[in-house]
Amino acid sequence: MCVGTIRVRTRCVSTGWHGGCEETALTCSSSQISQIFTALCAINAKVDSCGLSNLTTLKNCIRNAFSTVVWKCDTLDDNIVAQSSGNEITLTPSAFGSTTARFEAIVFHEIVHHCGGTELDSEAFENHCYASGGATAPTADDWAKFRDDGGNFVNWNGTTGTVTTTAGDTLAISFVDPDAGGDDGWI
Amino acid sequence: MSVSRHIAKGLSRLWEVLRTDHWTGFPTLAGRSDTWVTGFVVAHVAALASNARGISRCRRFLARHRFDGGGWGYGPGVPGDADSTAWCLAALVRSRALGAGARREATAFLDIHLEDGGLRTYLPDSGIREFIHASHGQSIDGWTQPHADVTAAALNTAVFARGGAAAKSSLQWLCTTQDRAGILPAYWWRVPYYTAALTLRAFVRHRLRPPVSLVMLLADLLRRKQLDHGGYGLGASMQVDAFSTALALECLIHLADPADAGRRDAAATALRRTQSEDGGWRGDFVLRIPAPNVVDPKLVAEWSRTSGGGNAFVPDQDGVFATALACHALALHEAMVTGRHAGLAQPWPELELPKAAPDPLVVVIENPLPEEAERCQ
Repeated sequence: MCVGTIRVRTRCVSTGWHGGCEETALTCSSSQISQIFTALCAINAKVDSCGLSNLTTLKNCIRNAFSTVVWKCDTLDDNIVAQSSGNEITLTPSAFGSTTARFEAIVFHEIVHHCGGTELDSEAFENHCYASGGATAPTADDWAKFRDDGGNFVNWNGTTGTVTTTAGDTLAISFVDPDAGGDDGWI
Repeated sequence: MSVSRHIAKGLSRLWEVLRTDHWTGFPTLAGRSDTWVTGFVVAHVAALASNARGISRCRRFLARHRFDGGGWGYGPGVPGDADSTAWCLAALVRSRALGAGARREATAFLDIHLEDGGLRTYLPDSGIREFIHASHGQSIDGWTQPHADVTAAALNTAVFARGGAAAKSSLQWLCTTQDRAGILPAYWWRVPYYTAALTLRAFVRHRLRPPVSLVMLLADLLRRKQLDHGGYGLGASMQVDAFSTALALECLIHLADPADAGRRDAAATALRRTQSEDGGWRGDFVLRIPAPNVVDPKLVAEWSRTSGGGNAFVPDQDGVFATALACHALALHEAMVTGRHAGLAQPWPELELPKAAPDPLVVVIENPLPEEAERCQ
C-alpha cells in the first residue's frame, strides 16, 4: 500500500563559472515531502476501490506514480492549487495548507491527469472517491472542458449527469451540464 | 451495399463539392483553406478514385500554388507551413505535375522544419507573425514548436527515406510523446486517433514495428473508447463521428491484432451506417486552432466555435476530410479482410527507444516515516 520513495524537483541555487549547477536545493520542505508520502499511501490504499477496479491501465499508473511523477513545490498563477504537466506535478502552498482529506484529493486529481486523464476523468474520480470528504465540485470553467474533451476513462451523459467508467461501472456522482459558450480573435 | 459501393458514393460526393480543380474547407480568420485541404484529400483518395483526370487537375492546381522555392501554405496569402507541404507532397507523389526541381525545393522546405526529430508547423521567420498581426512582444511559441501530428504526416512523405536514420529518429520522438492514456498528442486536432493513425501508417511505410509498450497502451485506448455501436465519438459525445471513427479504424487495422477483428468490423460497420444519403460523411468541429502562444492545448480553458481565430474549433464543412478518411479507412479494411494488407503483423524489426537521460535536477527521496516505509517492504 505504501511507497518507499518519491522523486522531487530541485532548483539550482549556485551556478559555477562554466555555467553548470554547483549546488541544488529541494523545492519541497521536509514536512511537504511527508505530506506527499502520506497522501500517496492513502491513495494507493484506495486504488482497488472507488470505481477503478476494472480500469487496469489507470490503476497501474496510479500505483506507479511514486516512480514516474516528479513532485515540485511552487506557486502557480490564477489561484490554481496544483497542476500536472508532463511527468511533473506542481503543488502550491495553498494545496499543502488544505485539510488532509482535501490535500489527498488534490494529489489524486493530479495523478489522474498524470495518467492521461482529462479534466472530466480527474473530476469524476475525485468526486466519486472523495465524496465523503476532500472533493470539490466542478467549477464553471470545467464544463466546457468536459464537453470538448470527454473522458479517456469515463463516459458522461451531460443531460442526466450520469458518469460511467469505460469498463461499464457507474460512478456515484451526478454531473448535470449547465451549458456555456464564448468567442475571441487570434491572440 | 458492398464496401466498394460505399466508397464509390463517397468519392462521388467529393467530386460534387469540388471547385473545378480543388476543394476548400475549414473556415478560419485566414479564410477557407484550398491547398492544404486539396493536398489532404488527394493524398487519401488518389489511389481509390477512378476519375484520374479529376485527380490530375487537382495535382496541377497544387503544383501551380506552391510558393517559389518552397512549399505550400494553408490557403491564399498564408505563409508556407510544414503540414500543408507534407500533405501536398503526399498528394503529388510520383506525379509528373511536380517537376524534379520543384520537388527538391519543397522537400528541402519541409526538411528545415525538423528539430530534434519533430517538425515545427511554422518557422519563426516564416512570415506567420506578420500574417496574424502579432507584435514582436507576443509569443508565437505554440505554432513554432515541434508538433507530433505534423511530424507523423511528414513521415509518410519522401522527405524521410524508407527506414532511414532520420525516419527512425522522428518515430522515436513520436513514441516519446505518447501519454499514459495511450494518446499520441495532436496540436491541431481534437481527435485522439489522428496522430496515432498517421504514426502507425508511417511505421508500415518504414517497415518497422512500434515498441510493444506503445502498441499496448494504444490498443487499450481503442478498446476503452469504442462506443457500443462500434464507432468513436468526438469529445464527450456518444454519437459516431466519422472522422474519429475512420482514424480509429485505421489504427485497429495497422495494429492487426487478431483479438480485435470484431472491433475492426464493428468500426467499419459503424462508418458505413453513418454515410449520408448524398454519399458523404458529416463533418464536425474536428480542427482546433490554439492561440499562437499556446504551447499545450490541454491548458486552454475554453474554445470558440464561431471565431475561427485563436483558441477556436473549426468545422469540417461539407465533411470533406471525414469523407476522404472514411473512404480511405473502408478501403484499407477491405484490403485487410481480403488479405491484401497485413498491417504491422509482419516480421519487421521493432523500433528501439533510447533510454531517457536522467534529469540532474530530480532527486529520489526515501519515505521519512519509518513505520510506513516498513509496510512498503
